[in-house]
Order: sequence, then C-alpha cells, then structure tokens
Amino acid sequence: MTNTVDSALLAAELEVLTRRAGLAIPEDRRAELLVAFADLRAEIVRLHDGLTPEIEPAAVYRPAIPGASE
Amino acid sequence: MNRAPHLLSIAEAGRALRAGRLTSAVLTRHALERVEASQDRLHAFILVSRERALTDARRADAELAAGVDRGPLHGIPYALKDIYDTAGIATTCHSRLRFGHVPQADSMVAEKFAKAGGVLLGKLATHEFAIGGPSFDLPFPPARNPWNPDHITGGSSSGSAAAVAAGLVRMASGSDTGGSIRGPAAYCGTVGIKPTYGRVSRRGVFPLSYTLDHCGPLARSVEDAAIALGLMAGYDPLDPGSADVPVPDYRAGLEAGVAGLRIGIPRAFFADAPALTEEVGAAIERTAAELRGAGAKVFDVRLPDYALFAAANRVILYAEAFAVHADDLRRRLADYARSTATRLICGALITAEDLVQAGRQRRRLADAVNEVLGSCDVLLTACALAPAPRFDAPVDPRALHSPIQTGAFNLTGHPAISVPVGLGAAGLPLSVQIVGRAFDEAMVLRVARAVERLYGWEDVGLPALAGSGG
Repeated sequence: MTNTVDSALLAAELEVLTRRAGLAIPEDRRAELLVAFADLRAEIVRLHDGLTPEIEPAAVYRPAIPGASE
Repeated sequence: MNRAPHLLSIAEAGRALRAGRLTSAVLTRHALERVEASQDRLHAFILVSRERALTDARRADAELAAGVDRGPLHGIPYALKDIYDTAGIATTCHSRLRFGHVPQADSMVAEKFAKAGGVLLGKLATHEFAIGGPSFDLPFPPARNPWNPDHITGGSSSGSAAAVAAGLVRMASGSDTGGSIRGPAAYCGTVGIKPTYGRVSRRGVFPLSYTLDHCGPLARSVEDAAIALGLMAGYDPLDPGSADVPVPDYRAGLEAGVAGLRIGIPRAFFADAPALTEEVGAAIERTAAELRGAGAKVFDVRLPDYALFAAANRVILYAEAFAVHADDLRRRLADYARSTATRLICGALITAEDLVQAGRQRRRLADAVNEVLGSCDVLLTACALAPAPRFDAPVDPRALHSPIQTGAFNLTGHPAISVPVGLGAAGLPLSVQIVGRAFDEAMVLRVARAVERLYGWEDVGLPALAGSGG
C-alpha cells in the first residue's frame, strides 16, 4: 500500500495498474477514474491504521471436518 | 371487500382468495393494470411477463378450487430483480452485455416462489450488474421514486423498491452487497431486509461480490417481508455460501413487542456524519424514545468508526466485482454504462496487500459487532442519512460522505432491515435500520414490526401513480 497523494504519481500508477489488468482506458475517462482512484486510496489508508502484521486476527481459512458441527 | 386489491397485505389477500372473495386472476389483472399505468412514470419493470402471470394466476385459482394450497404466496403477484435467473424469461442485469440473455433454469429463489404458487409479474429494473447507476446510457431507463419521480430510488434494487412503494406488488426480490436492498427501501419507503449471510441461496443470481452478496425481499410491510423471507430462506448445498441453519416461522413472534428487549444505538456511526440531515437524526431519536416508551431498554453502544467498516467493504466489493467482470471489461468496456465501468475498474487498482488487510479488518469488525450484540438484542441505527436525492443532484464521490450506512453489515454478515418511519418535510420517506445477531432475523423483524406499528406506516397512503411530484 502506498499513500500516494501526488497526482502525477497517481496517474502513473493508474496507467500501470490498468495496463497490467489488460484494460484499455479511453482518454476521456481518465480524469474521472483518477478522482475515483484518489478517493479509494484515501479510504484504503484506514485499513492499515492500527493493524500491524503481527496482530491477529488474520483472515484465516479453517478446514471443516465433514459431518462435524462448529 | 371494500379495499382495492393492491392495498391488501399478502396475508389478507390470501384469506380473501381462500374464502372465495377474490381470485388470483382478478388480483393479477389489477396488478398488471397498475404496472401499465405507472410504467412511463416509474420505469420499475424491464420486462412484464403478462402471459406467464395470467397463466400462473389461472393455475393458482384452479388449484385452490381443487383443494391444493401451496401456502402464503399462493396466487399472489410478485416480481424479481433482473439479476435473478428465470427459465425462459430474459435476465439482463439491466445491461447491454446481457441483452437478450434467456436462462435455461430458474434461480433458486425464482424456483421457490414458483413452487409456492406465486404469480410472476415480470423482471425489475436494477442498477447495472447491481453496482452502477442510476444511468441513462443503458438499454433501459432507470427506475424513479414513486414519491417524486424527480428523485432517485437508490440502488441497486431500484425497480424492486419502486414497484413495492407504488403498490404494484406487495413483495419483490432484491440483492444487497453494500446496501442494495436497504438503501432503496429507505429512499422509497418500503421494508427491506438483508438476512444473515448464507440465509438465502444466491444460486442463479448474477454475482457482484462473492463474500458480500445477500439475497432478500423488499416488501410493503414487515409482515409481508416476513412471509417473503420465510419462502426465500433455506439451505442450498449448491451455493457454497449457504448456511445449514433451521429457518423459523418469521411471522410467529412479530407481534411480541419490545418490552424487556435491549436495544443498542451505535451513535458514533451516524451522529457526526456530514450527510446526516436533521430530520433523519430526529427520526432516529424519536424511534429510540418510542421504543423506550414501549418498554425496551435503549442505550448507546460503541463500535469502531463506521468509515473503517465502509473502507473494508468497498475494497472487498471492488476486488471481487473486478474478478467477476475482468474479461468483459477487457473485451467490451464500451458496452458498460460509464458509472458502472468506473466502479468496476477500481477493482483493478487494489493491491494484494490492501485486500488482505481488508480481510483482516473484516474479522476484527465482525468480532466487535458480535461483542456488542452480546449485551443487546438488536442495534438501532441510521440507514439512509438523508431522504432520496434528486436525479440532477451533484454526486459526492467521497465515500466518507456516503449517504447510506449499510455496508457494515454486509461486511460482518449480520441481518439488517430498513423500516420506514414516516415522511420528511419534502414528502419523501425517512427510515431507520435494525440490526440483529447472526441468523436471528426473527428478532430483527419483531423489532421492525414494533417500529412500524408505533409510526403507523401502514396507514400512510401510497404515492399517486399518475401526475408529477409526490
């Protein structure tokens, strides 16, 4: 996660990520996508506050035993 | 019978059908006339399955005459959001990409409603793929709010809310990934319940987000919603998210009241939200006071910031939705509505680190809600922070200012209902949200019924079908 606020960097990142995803973004849609991307980035920052890697719970997968109740 | 057929609750219509005072054919033709009369103004339906409806109605009447009774939906008209597959009937997701798509099999819910003897009136407008809109660059126009068609219905179950609010059907199916049942229900003045994750099978319903999607009903009353949910609910081994948990009779405890119940208010969720209007805030306080007056113990509870729930919900939703749509976005981007495409492309901008972190927060936030619900029976909180905006109102893209506070309970999976609490100064509905423990929809419905009764929402008339304004 990168807390990018520089608009040029954000635009470059948008370009790389959409290309990597195989998306061809029309030029006339880039401005609104950048606004949405900046908004999303601001929101994502919250997910990292106060939840460092060593803190549980993790999003773990628990195998279920057939026939056993939880 | 003195009341027009569309004013009868599902239970009342059922009694009239069984007593021979009404036929399903009459009820259905009346509903079809109302659909036709409203369509140019509301655009609630994408497709009206007139012949199917009349066939269903004739069969329902014949069966009742022969002593075959399929239960509370027997002979009752309903409609389905157009992301629910219907065998032999087009299911478009309100999208150019699925134009003309005719499924070979019913979705699980459509199959259940058909087996229950319901009368399918047709398929309802939705925001494209349950995520875009309201959009005007699609093959079908967006549904409009029956209380004032210059205002949006909310989404994505837009046609479902419009159809129920206008009295075209008493019940319609919806889906809810971040609030797509409860938001439109709040804006249009209907009841809308998102049950516990896994309670209703999503088989045959076009996915938006595998771990956040919930199916449920929008209905004119809490009792109608209880009947509909009872029919929809149940384990389906072919839906990997389905839960094998017994389904109670949701109508059994509806009138039990709230005396002695403990109701928590997560006030920090909404009290300082920039989008909260004075009249919605006042409606929540009034509801709390009324419930207290009815014998409930009402007190404030603390949960993590709503913005954290919203962020985790959005990241997971966007990532999973991108996984669903990636191929079509690569090949047919121009066929999506512009707003749909913008939201879906955001999923490509989320990193692995962000998604893992959202998943970790999800567990932590679900634990926090479970802990609070250990000390109270339900939560009372905001649903829509303001009445429905106009179509031409500027859209604030900042999620922190989101006018609907529903996604938290998609993230955690808890059952939640939007229930109307009257009309605001502009003649548009106001609502509150009740949230319960996992698989305790019965308690959520019970408290919602108490709220409905306290406000007398059943006595508020329907919006006019013709003319402009509410």
